[in-house]
Amino acid sequence: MNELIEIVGLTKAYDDRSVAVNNVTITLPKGKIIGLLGPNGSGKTTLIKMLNGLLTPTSGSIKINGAYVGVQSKARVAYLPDRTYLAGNKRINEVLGFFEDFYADFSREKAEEMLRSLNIDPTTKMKTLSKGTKEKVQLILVMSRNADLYILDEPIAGVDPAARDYILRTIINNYNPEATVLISTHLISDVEQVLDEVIFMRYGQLVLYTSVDNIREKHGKSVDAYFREVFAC
Amino acid sequence: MLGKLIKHEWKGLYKIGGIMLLATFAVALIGSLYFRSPMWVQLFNENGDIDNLASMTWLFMGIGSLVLCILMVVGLIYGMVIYLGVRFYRSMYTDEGYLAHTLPVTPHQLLGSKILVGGLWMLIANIVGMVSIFLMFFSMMASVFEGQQLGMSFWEIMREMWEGFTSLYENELGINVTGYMIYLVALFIVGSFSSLCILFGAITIGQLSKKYKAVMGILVYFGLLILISIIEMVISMVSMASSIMDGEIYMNTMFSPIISIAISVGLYFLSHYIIKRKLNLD
Repeated sequence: MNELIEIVGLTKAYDDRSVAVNNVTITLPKGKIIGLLGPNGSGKTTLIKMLNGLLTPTSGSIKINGAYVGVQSKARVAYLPDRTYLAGNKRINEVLGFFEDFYADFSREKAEEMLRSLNIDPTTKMKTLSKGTKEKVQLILVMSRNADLYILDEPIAGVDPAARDYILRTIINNYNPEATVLISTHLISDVEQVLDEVIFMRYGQLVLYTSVDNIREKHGKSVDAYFREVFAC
Repeated sequence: MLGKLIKHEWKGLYKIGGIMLLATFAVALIGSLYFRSPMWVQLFNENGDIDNLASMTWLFMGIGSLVLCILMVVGLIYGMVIYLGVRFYRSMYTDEGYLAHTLPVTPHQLLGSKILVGGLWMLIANIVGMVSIFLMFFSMMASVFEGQQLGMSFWEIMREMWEGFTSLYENELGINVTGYMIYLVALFIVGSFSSLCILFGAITIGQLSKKYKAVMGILVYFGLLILISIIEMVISMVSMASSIMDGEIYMNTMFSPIISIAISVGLYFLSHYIIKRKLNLD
């Protein structure tokens, strides 16, 4: 059994006129880096929030590793949201202790090593860090877990190009090859090099799910160029 | 996991909570030392040489100081309620909620840890608040009795008053004072936790709103407090009428807390349901 995520008929409607995710059915395998791509408002973040149990679906179901979203799935999913979810008054090493307590798959040594490589002092309080450094700390926390599924929502959106390279390297070098990484972004050219598969979303619906090689072979284009063609305004 | 949640919840609360309680106790200590100053003993001395106008001025100042100290203590306890409410809202329903709700814990563990730790702080705050008010009140009364030179020590007077009180309750009204005291202490403990269930429940119900979720939470909280008061009042009036008709002694305090405890238990399960089935973080 190679399926990791099974989504069936998933819909999230805030009201009759506002359907953020519309009847999505998809099965994602283990051991792949998958780009979740789409313009702003296409439903990427809504889908990710439902995968993490932060939004309740209007209808449909999600299974991760055979289990519905709950304690069991949360123990095996490492999630990087598109915002800072750590309290500002906490020091980085307190946050490391917190992750160590709650996630059995968290490696403190790995996190400390990554912090050292970026010259981030673990005694610093979160609120004194710059936006980019906060994002790096959160990414380090997430990538220091040996999870089955890494869900990264816009991991490179708010940082400079040098930091983007570091973040992508961190993702590639630290994820468990048996695991799947789902990366949501609209900065396709930056992540294209690391992706195995892509999902295109528009208006809450699934437009395309295919491999990067398939796009290159079939359409003779990069993912970025093909995306621009599909989503041309 | 509940133990770990409790540990981290306690770590997140103890600094601000501790500062607030120390501030309460400091106000009470300064207030009680102020009321024990020789000036006060002399003021309440019938043969004192302070003229009437000065005495009246001091008396008003004294009463004013006592009221001010009590208001500060009460304010600090309400400050604790507000702090716990804001902290619950921030940690559960703002950006920090993205961490809380992706932890591998059940909604019961998440809610339970917040109610247990917050309730413990409310209990401590209530105890410190009560001790503070009693401390100031007794030190003022001690100065009054000392100044009046009644020929008895303050503690002897207090003991006599207590004996009078217990004999009135036990002999005249047929109420076991010890049992009643145990009941009140139990109520005090349970009340500290149930008040938080109501507060957290209201904030969680506010999350069902599409807009202005925090404001909705506050409105629901005050709405619930008003609703509880109305229910308690209706039950009190009904039971009072029935007691009078039966020629029995009316004991209001027996019924009222049961209502708010029942509502707080209901709100706990409603909060659990909302977190489990209706969670929608912005």
